[in-house]
Amino acid sequence: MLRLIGGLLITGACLWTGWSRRRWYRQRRRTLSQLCHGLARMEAELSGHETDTRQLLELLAAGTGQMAALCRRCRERLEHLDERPFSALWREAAAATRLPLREEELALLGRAGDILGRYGGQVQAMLLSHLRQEMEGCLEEAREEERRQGKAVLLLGLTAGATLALLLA
Amino acid sequence: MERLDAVREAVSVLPLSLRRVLLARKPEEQNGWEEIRLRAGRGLSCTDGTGRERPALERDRPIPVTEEHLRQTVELATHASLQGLEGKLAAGFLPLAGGHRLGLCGTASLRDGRICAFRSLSSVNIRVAFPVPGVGAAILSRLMDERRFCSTLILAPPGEGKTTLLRDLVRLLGLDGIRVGLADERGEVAARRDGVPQLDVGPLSDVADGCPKGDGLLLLLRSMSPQVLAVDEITHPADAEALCQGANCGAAVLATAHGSGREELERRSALNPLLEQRVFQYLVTIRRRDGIRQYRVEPMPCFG
Repeated sequence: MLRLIGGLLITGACLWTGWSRRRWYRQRRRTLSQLCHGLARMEAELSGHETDTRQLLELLAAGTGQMAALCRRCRERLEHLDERPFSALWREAAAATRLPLREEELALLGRAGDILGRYGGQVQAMLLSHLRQEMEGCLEEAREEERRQGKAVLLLGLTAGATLALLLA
Repeated sequence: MERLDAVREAVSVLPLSLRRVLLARKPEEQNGWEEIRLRAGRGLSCTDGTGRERPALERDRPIPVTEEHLRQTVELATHASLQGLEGKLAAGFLPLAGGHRLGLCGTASLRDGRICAFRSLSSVNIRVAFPVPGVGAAILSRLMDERRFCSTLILAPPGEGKTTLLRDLVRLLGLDGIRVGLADERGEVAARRDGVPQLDVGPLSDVADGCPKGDGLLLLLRSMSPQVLAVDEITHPADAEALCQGANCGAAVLATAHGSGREELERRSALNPLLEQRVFQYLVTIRRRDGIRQYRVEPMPCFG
């Protein structure tokens, strides 16, 4: 009985590891998608209305998802503008939001902090558009990885768990 | 607003590390600051009422300034929003709350032949705006012909107090019951916030800001029927044309221009239409001697 329970627990743990990895792929894809939408909204606001940065953050913070959480955190940090530059506050906010992204994707997102508020509205919109295109490239890659590896990691977890359970039984 | 409050308000756009050092100075020293200058790779300095620029020292050492300090100053001045301020940037300055001004200098980026940003900043200069009520009282009576104000040009080099004198004359004219239309392109004269002037421009002034001076003057002329049209710093022929139009419609004109003396007037092409049409009746020049400003009023000389 004890062996059976042990085997089930091991199988369950391995299955959970595989499942959480699969979930990470899905969350990464969703986050990148939300970031792309957010950047597109910023572009539209900047080129259409020259919306100021605080207002821009407030507009995006009113939504849901990871971009809204990031903008909320960044807006809260704006009161520290006399201590640290905006780019640093943006990166701090991105780090505090704990986005399920790879290092290079986080670095890409961090570059938005070097663009926002530093130029005229049209120039910012143009630079954000380049950034969004790169981000969309990452999103495509994330979709592909989720499609290819999502099921594989789940299956791998299940197989590893079952094998371990059999070996220990 | 007290002068010390004006200095502290202007200094609030500096990064905290620099601001702390400046605000630790004696209030009587702060009280004299007219400009605060930051130069990357060099130091922080303050210009006092005598026009002399002195380095700000901390424990007898210059306060080091980096380009990051300059960037951060611009961010603080704009609340991290340069959007909508490209026009100001092209002119090399940013208006600050309270009528203060942040001058910028560095390597510019051009777009359609105009400055749209600075790739790197080398210096920034905060010019403290503070009202000096009564500064125009001594000369106003000489600029009046009975109850009518005579068109006047105030001429002085930068930083000598042209805007301060203009603001006080506008205020005093209002107190005398004369309606003034003020074209305040940079928001330096009235420093309006939520429609209300932060600096005293008198009870009878109508302020057009945020638009080119020429457009502002025409707008005032069409909509506010001013008795006097006032404008700070004529730099563009379009401003002069608009002032000529105003003068031809019966409004007196009060304007300022850069220049060290009457000899320079003829060389200022932007002023040519005004001088040719003999719009101005009086010329006021400002000179500083031993830190005290002296105002000289003379009839406008004839040119051409």
